[in-house]
Amino acid sequence: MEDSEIVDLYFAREESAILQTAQKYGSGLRKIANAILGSMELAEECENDTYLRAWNLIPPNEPRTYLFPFLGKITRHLAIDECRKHAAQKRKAILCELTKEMEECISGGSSVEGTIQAGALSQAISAFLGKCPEEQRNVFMRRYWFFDSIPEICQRYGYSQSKVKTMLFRMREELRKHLEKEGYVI
Amino acid sequence: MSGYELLDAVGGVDFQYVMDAVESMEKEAAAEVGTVKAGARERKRGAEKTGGKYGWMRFAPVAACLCLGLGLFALWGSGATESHNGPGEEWQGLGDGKYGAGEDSSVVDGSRTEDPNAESSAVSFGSLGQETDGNQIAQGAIDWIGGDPDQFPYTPMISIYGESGFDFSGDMAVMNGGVFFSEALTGAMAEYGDAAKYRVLVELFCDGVQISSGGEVARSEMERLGDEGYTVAFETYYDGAENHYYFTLHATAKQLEAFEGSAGLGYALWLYGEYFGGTGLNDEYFGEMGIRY
Repeated sequence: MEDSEIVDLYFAREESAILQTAQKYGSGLRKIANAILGSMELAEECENDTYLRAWNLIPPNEPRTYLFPFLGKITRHLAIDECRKHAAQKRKAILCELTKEMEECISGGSSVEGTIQAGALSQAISAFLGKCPEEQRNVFMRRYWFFDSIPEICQRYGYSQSKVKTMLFRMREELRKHLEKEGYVI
Repeated sequence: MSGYELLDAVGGVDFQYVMDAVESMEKEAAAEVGTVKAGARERKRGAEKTGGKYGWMRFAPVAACLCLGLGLFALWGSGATESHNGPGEEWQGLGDGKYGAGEDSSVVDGSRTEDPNAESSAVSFGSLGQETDGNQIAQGAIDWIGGDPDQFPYTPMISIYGESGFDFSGDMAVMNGGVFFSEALTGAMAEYGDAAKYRVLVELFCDGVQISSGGEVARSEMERLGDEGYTVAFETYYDGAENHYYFTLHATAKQLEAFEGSAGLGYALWLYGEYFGGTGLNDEYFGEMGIRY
């Protein structure tokens, strides 16, 4: 079923909307959640919470052309939030590795916690990605949005591991500079 | 701001980028079944480097080097045989009966009738072989046809060693006064010692935080090392949007062993090829690298 038709079901408050969503995107969402949480059981819970959240958000949102990113964003947020609540758990998950990588992009010094609007930060990252070549942007997205492992990215795009690592390393460095320019680091 | 927040914020980036990443995968999948474009072939070559069905291709550069080495060895062998006579001796000996009939079919009445130019190329390889004593990475002399073999001494430059790759674990930080040598660099130095120079990429750290190689600190550091006798190269890489800067040294093992940094800086030294990913073969970063000395 097309995304637009699924969204129509949400608008019509048809419960089959969730079934159709699960059939089309369930495995992808579970994979993302599992990558973050490191537990299939928790990932399934997260997936179900995503459907509930989507049910409440559509309408008013109308993600006819971007249903998967819309759902994926919810899943990521729920899973990361879950990890944050259970800090010990993160040690078991790939999230630990990825948060460390992301921390390279920010200062270890003073924090501007509480003052940063998450949306504005996302926009700053979007602006940065907009300046990157598409190839690099895709690799970045696979790593930090989809939580793919380095070997998975290599397999998908046919790059060597060192090339992917080099690319990501450079992008993190550039992102750090970009965020500094945008005033996200004191 | 924590890594969590930043990672969470990545979730809110333009949805189009997510769609692009999904679509790019679909294109790749189509390429895999042979329905899409020649460009996929190029990427597949990259995939071969990671192993799998075409994993043996990673040995192609090694095989090519081996063939080249064997070829040179064979030429050296023939050149060494000729060089016993040496170009000077040979042509001084013309007509003195030094080369008896039967020893060389081209000798007539004790005189050589060959074209002297035909000899010189063999001799030049022979001189390389004599200098190197069979060790292909030892110091030698480069000659061109007809040139003096001793006129152009060279020292091989090592850019890559072994299989060790650059570790971007993200935890790398060298504190002030520290000098980190990569495993590949120390391995190469241990094996080749002063028989070679080393092309080294230098990362600078200040208070444990990496600093740009394009900044003033790096520039003055390059000047300082240049004054101390190191060959310093400043390189840039343009990624289509902006320049990236790299600080490299061409140094001997002795120079590296005696390397002394400035007190307020930390240093990480990597072999150049190691830093830029493997051998650099099929690596577009190598292709795009614009070097400025």
